[in-house]
Amino acid sequence: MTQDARLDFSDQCGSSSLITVSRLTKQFPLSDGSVVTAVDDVSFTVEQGEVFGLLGPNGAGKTTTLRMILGLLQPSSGDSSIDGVSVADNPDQIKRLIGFVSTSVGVYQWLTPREMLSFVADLYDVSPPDRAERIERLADVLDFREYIDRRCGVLSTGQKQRVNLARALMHDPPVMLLDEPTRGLDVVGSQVVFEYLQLLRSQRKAVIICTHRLDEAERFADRFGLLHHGRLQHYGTLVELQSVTHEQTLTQMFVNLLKNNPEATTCPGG
Amino acid sequence: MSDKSQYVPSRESSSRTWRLATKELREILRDRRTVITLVLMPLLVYPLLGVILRKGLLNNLTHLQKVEVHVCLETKEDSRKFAAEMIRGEQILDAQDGTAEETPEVSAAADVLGTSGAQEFDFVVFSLDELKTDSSLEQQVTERYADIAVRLTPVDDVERGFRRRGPPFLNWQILRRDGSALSDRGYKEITKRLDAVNERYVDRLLERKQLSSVRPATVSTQVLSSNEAGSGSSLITFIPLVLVLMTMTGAVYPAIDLTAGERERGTMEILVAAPVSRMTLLAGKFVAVLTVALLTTTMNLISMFATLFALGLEGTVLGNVGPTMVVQVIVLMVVFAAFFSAVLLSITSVARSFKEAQAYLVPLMLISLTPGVFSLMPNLQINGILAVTPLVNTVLMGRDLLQGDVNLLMFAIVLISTALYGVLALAIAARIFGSDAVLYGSGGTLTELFKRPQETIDVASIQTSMSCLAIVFSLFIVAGSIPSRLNVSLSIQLLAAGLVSLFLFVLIPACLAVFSRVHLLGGFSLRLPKWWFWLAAVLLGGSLWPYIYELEISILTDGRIEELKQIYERFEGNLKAVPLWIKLVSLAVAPAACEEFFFRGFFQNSIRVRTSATMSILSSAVLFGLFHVIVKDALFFERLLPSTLMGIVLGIVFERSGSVLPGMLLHVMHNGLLIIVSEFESELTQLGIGISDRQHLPASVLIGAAMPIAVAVMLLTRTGLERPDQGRDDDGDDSHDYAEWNSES
Repeated sequence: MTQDARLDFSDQCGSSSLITVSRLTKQFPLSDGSVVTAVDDVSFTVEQGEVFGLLGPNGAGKTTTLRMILGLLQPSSGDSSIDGVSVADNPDQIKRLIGFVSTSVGVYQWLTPREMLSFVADLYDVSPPDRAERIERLADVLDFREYIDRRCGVLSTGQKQRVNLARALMHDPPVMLLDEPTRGLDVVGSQVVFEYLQLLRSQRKAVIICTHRLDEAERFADRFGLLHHGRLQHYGTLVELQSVTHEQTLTQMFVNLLKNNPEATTCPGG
Repeated sequence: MSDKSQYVPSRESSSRTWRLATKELREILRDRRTVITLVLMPLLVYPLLGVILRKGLLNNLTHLQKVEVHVCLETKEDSRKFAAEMIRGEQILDAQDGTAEETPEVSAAADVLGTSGAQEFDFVVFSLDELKTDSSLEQQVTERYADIAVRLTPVDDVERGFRRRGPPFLNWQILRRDGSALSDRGYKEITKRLDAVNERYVDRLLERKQLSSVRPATVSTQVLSSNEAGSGSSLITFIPLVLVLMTMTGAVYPAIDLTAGERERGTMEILVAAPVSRMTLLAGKFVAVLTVALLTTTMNLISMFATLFALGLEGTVLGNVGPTMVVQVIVLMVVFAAFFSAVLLSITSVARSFKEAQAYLVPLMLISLTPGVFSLMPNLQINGILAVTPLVNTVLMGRDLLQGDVNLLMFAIVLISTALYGVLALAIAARIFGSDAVLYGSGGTLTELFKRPQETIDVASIQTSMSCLAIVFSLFIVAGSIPSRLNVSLSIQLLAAGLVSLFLFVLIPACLAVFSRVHLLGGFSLRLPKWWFWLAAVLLGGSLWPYIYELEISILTDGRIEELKQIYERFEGNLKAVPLWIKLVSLAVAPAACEEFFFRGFFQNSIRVRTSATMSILSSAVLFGLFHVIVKDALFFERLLPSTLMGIVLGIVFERSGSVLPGMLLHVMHNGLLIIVSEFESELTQLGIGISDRQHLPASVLIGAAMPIAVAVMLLTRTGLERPDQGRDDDGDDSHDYAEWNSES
């Protein structure tokens, strides 16, 4: 990643964005010596209070992109920054700015939701009084007060997901990354996630949500990035995408995309 | 550069580590599976084992102690005579000496249970007329109704050639069955008793005729018990192995649960997404696993001892248990538990799921079991190589400790090497735990471990330096004794020792540094210092030795001085023949320069990045002191304090100058002067300097040496502010340039 590239990009997208992803690339070496490019030159921005849907089929590079933004993976080239803080320069600060909900509904089986949230708050250095207050508020907002003192192991998947969503908000981050938050959830569970996104929007958070469920994404997100073979094929609001692709729904756009670009040759657009 | 993300100021991480550990412990201890291995297993296993053991042994013993032999005679009258003679014989034998002959089985059992294994014979006597049978005595024996039959026939007095009063003499025809152990033993017992009766009769006869009862040949036997250590292959050798195995079992479940389990449940992402360094996370998990392992060991110990006490076996199994032994055993077990927890964490960190982790651990357990069982061999003595072999050293040392037969040097080596392996394993775990490979699966994790970092770094990470320390220490124990075993002249031996120093303290660290892409000049602080540091080094190098020497002899007791004199006298004569230059090169220049290269240039340099100046100086100095205590096959404890002190001085010079070079000069001069003083001892004795006699130095020498030291101290303090800028600061702001805990590859 060169300094020039970054400057180019910020000119292009303006500096008001909270999340700036510029030319992120990640390559994994394979055991046979060849290199697979999981994410290829991906750039986009997300504003405050905006929900950005990073869409794509399985293996498109969505999770890898999120991991690089979070600082869990070191990009092969490119950089991302939050509020002007570059992940390469200050990964610890970046982690404090991000709430992360991953695919796996991970809870500690033998802790109660209250204990678990308190533990996570400790990881993020939230002061004890703030901790208690936030747990109470989130228990009301996400409606898990009923089982807040039951051990997580006995909770249903939907209940675990609520705890997990609350967990990501314990340190009140300005940015939220959601990786397939509805996977394995029924309609009611998905509805909870939808309400959660409304909550995040109302709190003016910048949100990136990854999903391969395009119908859902149409309801969730304000703007979209269509990722295929590691490249950002299309990028914009639904209306913008419709005018570019001449298709009505995201699903159709994707079907076309898969049909026309099996090898992914188009440049990132927007 | 996600390297930097791992940095957390050290002052914060210790309390955080503890909070993390409490959370992990809370989680583990709420899990019933842990409670089962932790509490129920030992509570049930030992008493059960104990009961079985005792039952088995005692059953065996009662069998052995009461041998029941069925004896058949012709008439009831005969059986009465038989019984009477047997009782008389037994009484005579008992009166002669209390020690009955013991069979090997009985004595083995007696060793374990501490009882005397005297064997009792019970003759069940019956006669043919009682049975009202027509069968003969022969039939009774061959048909196994009786083990032995005895036919008594009166001996005609005329045959004996004289007449006497009293009952007639009898001829005892003993019929025994071939191939029957019982019959054989009965036969031996009967003849033994009859011999005793006959003996007594002859003795009485001789006494009455006033004749000496002395026979041409008299026999007396003395049974000697073997003196070999470990020949008591009794339960004691098993205890360390059982403890080690139990510690392992205790640590396995939490180790899997906290690493692979965490990933299986999907909670690992919560941790890695948090702004907490992987090292801190790992440290928390390590503390938790170690705690559970120790709890298991404690529970096992308590249960084991309670069982032994309850069965009254503690004395015979353990011998004398003293407080020192208890402390030593505890220290050994703590160090081992730490080592094994680290090993487990490093292995389970690779795995993605419980299943996978278990698949990895089964071979590990099998591999560990082999040396564990191997170390049960009774005549296996712990030596240099075994003392640095993981696991074997702990089991052997545990055995020696329980037998009260400890070599303190070996104990120290076992502890230090085990601890260092633990650090090495933790370093490996830190490298694997939560890394990319872990999040994405286990593919390529092992290659990840040996992958070189892509970027060069200025100073080696603590991980690298600790790994290096572990390797150097083990090799130091093994290679240190090689030169003296060479069958060459002393000069060559000395030069070889110099080469060993070069290999241990320069080559190994340098190789590791090259491998982990540490900048060689920076990593070993090979930079030119300001001129006054050279001056300070020269002053200290020339004037410290009298104080270090005084310190050493003030610690020595008179007895120890005598001992040392004897040790040195053996070398003295040979050493005189060695040219001075060889002594200087191999005893002063080579070790001093090489040790500086490693202890200050590499080790202190790398830990300085993460800790304060004081901590880095002290830890490298203590380490330096410890290395000097171990000399080939003996421990020179009196060298600990002087060497550590020397290490502190060298550490301060290094810290101040930011270079390893003045320290090298100081160290070389210091060693060289001591050698020169002893070389020209005869000339110097007139001045009152008698090194080999361990005399105190004259006060004038000490006062004279104080002057340059004072000047050197001034030089060191005055220039403290102007030391070369290396970006080292205590506030930790820029120290994360060096915090290179995971060196993402």
